Amino acid sequence: MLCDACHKFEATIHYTEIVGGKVIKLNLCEKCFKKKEFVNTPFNISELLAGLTQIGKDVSGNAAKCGNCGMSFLDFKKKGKLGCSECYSVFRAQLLPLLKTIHKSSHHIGFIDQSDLYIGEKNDNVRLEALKKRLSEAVKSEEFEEAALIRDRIKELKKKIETKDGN
Amino acid sequence: MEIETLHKKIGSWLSGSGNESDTVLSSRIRLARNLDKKPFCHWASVSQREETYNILIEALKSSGFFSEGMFLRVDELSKIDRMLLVERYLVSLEHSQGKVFSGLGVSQGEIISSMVNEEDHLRMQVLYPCLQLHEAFGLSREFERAMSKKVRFAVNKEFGFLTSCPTNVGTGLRASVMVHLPALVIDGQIGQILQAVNKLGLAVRGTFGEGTHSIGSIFQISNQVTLGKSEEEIIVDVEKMVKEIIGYEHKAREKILKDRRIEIEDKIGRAYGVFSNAKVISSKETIDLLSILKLGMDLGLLRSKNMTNDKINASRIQTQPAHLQKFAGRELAHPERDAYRAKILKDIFSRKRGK
Repeated sequence: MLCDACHKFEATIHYTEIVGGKVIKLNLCEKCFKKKEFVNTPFNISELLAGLTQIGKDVSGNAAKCGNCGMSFLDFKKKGKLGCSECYSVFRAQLLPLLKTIHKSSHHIGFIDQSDLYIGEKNDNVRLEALKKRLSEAVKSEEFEEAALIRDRIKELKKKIETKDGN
Repeated sequence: MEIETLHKKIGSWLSGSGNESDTVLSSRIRLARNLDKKPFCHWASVSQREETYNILIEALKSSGFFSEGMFLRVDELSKIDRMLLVERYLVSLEHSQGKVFSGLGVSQGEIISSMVNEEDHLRMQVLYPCLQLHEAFGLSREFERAMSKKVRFAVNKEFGFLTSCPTNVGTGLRASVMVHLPALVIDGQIGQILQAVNKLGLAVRGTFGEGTHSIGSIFQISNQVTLGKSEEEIIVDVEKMVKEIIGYEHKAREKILKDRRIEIEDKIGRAYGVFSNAKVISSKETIDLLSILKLGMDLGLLRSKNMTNDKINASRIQTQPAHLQKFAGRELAHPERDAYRAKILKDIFSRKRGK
């Protein structure tokens, strides 16, 4: 493929630029790429939605509405943004394939609470101790969901420490 | 702290001292959060925007992180003041448009800031000098903890923190590092490297964030994925990539120092000459020449005691259009602006060290 700009050299750089909502795909040689200042916009939701055929062509779900904020799935497809936190439950089925495309995952594994304040701490053993303390606190106050989460985090951290020691 | 005097100093995160200060300008953590069940900003009515504004500004004020800081209604500011905030990385371009009830909280020294009613109800930001993502994240979690005691954030077990745009859902975390890669640009390898970064699932953005160009060899490296990875994984991935890239930059610097020393020395001398003598200078030329001077300083080719990272950072920020107009105390038309910029630069470069 030849460069879109000079039509002389082989295009080695392929990228997508989004200017004012319009998607422009460019294939450039390195020389022309250097001349062009670098622009990068990571995602365009409406383009992604259109690309996901099961969503783009299937219009049956369009009319479904969120009871909390009144947004329909068609509104979301137009705007690329949801209406409120409840929309994630209402449009869950339609959102799953989209999330998989964007994030290569559809399940959160980070925190939903404040159990690990020591995540900025570089010393893993210090963090481990802090987490253990937080776990016993959570158990004492019967916050079992949080306790389960902290337990998983402790497991993860222990494994990390073990593999480090092993090296 | 007030907006009228903001332009006179630069944020303390631009001090330029810390790990990898020869290639990394700053580290930034941003957390996107929304109030449970309240309509997201783009979908909210004016009175609903007012409600979230009041709730969040109140919570920010009582969080304890903004003593001696300031709170602003962005939509009530002049155009120049709004641009000033963009130039200081305190608000996004989108937020600077000033939709009704757009809020901002800034801590003393500008390490912590929070946009209210941008794309999400709350965007918490922590900025640190040089490569300090872990430290910045530690502070952002303390800040978030204080906030989550005041308000109820939208979160569920399956999708994590719920955001207006599904590209931010999960951790709501964006970890980004601003890097200075002049040797890779001079050497022509930058295209390949940025392409590789993109392929590995990270994003490269321009100097002023999403959708902006890169000038002065400054790039922002950040994560794209926010769901399905833990906060720590995200930060470690970005940090690893940054370290890898600066490794290439160091190699490229050695190479140009060996093969093209005279050419580089010439560029540095000319840059210095321009700053000392120019009568008119554009913003782009300023940033490009500052990049050369920083490279000269980091390569040890420029042995002026007068040159420090914080001075270079100050010259880059304080010569942006809104800053210039704040210094001038009035609106400046284009040709006048370039003359005023040349004057300010001359001022900065003749100033004695430490002032």
